[in-house]
Amino acid sequence: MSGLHTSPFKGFSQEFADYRQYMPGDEPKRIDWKVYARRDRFYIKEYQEETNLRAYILLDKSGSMSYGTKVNKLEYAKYLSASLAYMLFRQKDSVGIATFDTAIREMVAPSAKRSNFMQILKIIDTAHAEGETRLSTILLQLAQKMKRRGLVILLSDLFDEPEVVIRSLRSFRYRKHEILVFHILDRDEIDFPFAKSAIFTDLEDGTDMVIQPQLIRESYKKRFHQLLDLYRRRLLGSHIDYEVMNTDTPYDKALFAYLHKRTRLV
Amino acid sequence: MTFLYPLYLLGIALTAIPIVIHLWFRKRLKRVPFSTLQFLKRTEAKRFGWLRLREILTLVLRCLIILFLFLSLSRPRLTSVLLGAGRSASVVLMLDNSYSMGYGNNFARAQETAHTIIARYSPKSEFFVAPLCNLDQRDSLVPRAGVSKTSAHKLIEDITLSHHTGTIRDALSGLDFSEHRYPLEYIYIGDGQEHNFMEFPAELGGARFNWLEVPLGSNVVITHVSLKDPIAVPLDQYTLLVEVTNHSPRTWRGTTALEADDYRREKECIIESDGTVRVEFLIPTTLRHGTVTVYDDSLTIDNTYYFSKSPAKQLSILIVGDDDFLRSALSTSQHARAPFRVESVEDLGTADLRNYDVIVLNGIREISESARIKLDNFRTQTEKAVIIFLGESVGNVLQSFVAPCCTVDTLLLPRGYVTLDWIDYSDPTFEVFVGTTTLLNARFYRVQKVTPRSKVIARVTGNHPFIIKHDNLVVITAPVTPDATDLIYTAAFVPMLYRLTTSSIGVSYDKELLLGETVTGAQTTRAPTGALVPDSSVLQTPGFYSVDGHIVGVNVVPEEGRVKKLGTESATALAISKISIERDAAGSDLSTILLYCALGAFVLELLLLAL
Repeated sequence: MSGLHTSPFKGFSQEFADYRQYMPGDEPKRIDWKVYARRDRFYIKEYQEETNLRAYILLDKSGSMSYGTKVNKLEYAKYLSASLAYMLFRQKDSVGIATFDTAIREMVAPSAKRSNFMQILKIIDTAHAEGETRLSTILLQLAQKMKRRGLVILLSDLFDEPEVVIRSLRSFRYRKHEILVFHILDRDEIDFPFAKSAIFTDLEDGTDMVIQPQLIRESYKKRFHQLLDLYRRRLLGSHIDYEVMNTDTPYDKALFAYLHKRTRLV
Repeated sequence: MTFLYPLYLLGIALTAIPIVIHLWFRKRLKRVPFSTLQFLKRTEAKRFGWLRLREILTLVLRCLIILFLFLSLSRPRLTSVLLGAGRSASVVLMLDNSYSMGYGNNFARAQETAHTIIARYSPKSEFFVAPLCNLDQRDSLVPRAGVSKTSAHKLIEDITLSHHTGTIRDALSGLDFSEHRYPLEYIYIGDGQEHNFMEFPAELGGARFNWLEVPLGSNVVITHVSLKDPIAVPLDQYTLLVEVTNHSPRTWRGTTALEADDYRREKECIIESDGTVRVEFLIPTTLRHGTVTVYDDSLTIDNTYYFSKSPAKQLSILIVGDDDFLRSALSTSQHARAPFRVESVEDLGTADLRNYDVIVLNGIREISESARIKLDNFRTQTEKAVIIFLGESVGNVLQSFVAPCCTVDTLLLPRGYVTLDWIDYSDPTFEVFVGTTTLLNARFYRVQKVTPRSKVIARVTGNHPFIIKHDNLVVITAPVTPDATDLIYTAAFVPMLYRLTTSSIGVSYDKELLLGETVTGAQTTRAPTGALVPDSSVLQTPGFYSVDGHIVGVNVVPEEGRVKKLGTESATALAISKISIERDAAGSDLSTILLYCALGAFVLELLLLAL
């Protein structure tokens, strides 16, 4: 069984890549004797390694993810993660999942088996939003648990201290993981379109606050865009793919846009 | 602290309204679930902190507005412990009812304060109540001994404003303190004009004497109403001179009006602080009495002056002796209302003097004894006068007749002439000649040298008396003849002679009386109400009185019009504790301050909302 993704590592594989002159230390069994017969020199045959991609889907199911006007962010993230899992499964890649809020709630190790995929879908289906976000802590824990390099796909609203989140994501990069961050947001969180004064209730800790939106809207929007800009700049700077996914955006368009971009990156 | 209207304190409960509205408003607010407020809290921390603070401050300010408002309406006062404070005392309460207390509502405030003070003492206290002025009222209304609180309240109500002034000494003089039960405490409530403290009893110096000071008002007062020229015989109109003084600390603008029967004239006045203006009114000679009123003054009690004037009337003059120039000089007009009606005779012996007001002897050397008796009898009438121009010689009888004025020495024949070198311009005869030289240039070729025994109003060169006045007898030391003087040819001759004649008559041109004067038994006096004023009684009310059938104006004494308060230093010297009626006695009224606080809270709330 082989995946469709190209591994950046050369080694034992079925697909020929190039010849290389034998160097002391190379295993003698790798010498191509046919070439030796023709050229009277020792050459070693190199192959492009084709490995199964190990993908980790990290799904944030904290309370804040339950927010949404048409569809809530968690639902949107669940559909998106299911779609991604399916795509990876179909590509014969190993896919695993971890759901978390204040702690890691569910975790399935990557595998290309169908049963594993079904388990992932079950976890996605049963995930419901609750608790606060401790994103940076969770990411550090997950980074330690993921021994083998792979693709880490994070679906979260990233409502934590940005600097700490970015630092945590970088820890994946240190372990040679490739990271995709889907920043799941609702349109209201970006535009803050509320008109009348109201009591705003925090979906994570349940605290209330009387807010006059008209007084803070412009300032909020400015600061929120600054936050998005910070994530984009710092994550891309750290070679971490970052995509803001608005819940208004259709999934296919969002996935297509991402995959297209991914293709270009490859 | 006391409250004048404590029921308003119930309104403080309404401070709950903003809190209820606040809570209701919060409850009514739509609850909007939001992903997380952490981001808002983190990024808008300052703003939320301020908004939260503003919300609390607004709520507090709204509560304070209501609190201050109702506290203000309840009229809280910080009361003084100096007066009353529930103790038992023998209180001597002097209420200033002098007419300067008629300023604004000063007297009502003084009465109100008196009630407050009385209420503060214990029920066992006794009170000696005395009005400062109008002692007649005091004697009839106020008991001399101490009374209970209830009686004291009633006595205070019975005291009315007086047209008089008075002193503390007089007010105390009628009270009997011999059986007082408690230590005496003296309280004077009034504006404390200087003359109220005249002859302040020394024994009160160490006593507990408190002066509850009523703010002294300003006053515009008619200080004097007189004929502009009392000795001028008016033809159709005479001029009334009204002197109005402004005792206010600021410029007064108002109207001075004169009313006499249907005749009414008004004049606008602008008087600087402490300034005086003279307003002139022309009045028909047929109107002898009326009122002068100043309008737009707060102290209304003295704004009307009742005048009754007697302008000089047409005089009948008899010239004895050389009448060539005198007759023509005094007969300035043949009009029926001419100032003089002049006749002349050679000798006094046949003349009936009863028909004349002035007898003029010009250059007469001597008179008979019988003529002298006639002249003496004539002079006994004060409204008649004798004028004598001395001739070249003076006989013994004539000498004795002029003796009250002077003693005739010798005839003075100067080389050439003498002139007038000193004139008493304050004398009505000469007051119109101030600044002129015509009179001073007149030459006199011979004059009698005399030794004066009475008032000299003019002198010639060498300091020799020229005109000497004694009551209604006037002596001029030179005759009015062409060979004796050239005065007769000067422009000053006629007016001087005119004024000398009219001024020599001792007529009272001002028949007005002042309150406080006593009615004499020789006169029949009726009050403005028509009631007969008893003999020896004191005039109490201003207005037009009838004295022996003549209308006489009775006016208030303008003494209090000066409104000069006893200074703090003087009060200290007299050991008087001065207490402000507004701040200390009745208690400091906090309502205005609280009202400003409410207003301030309201403004602060508006500012907060605008931020």
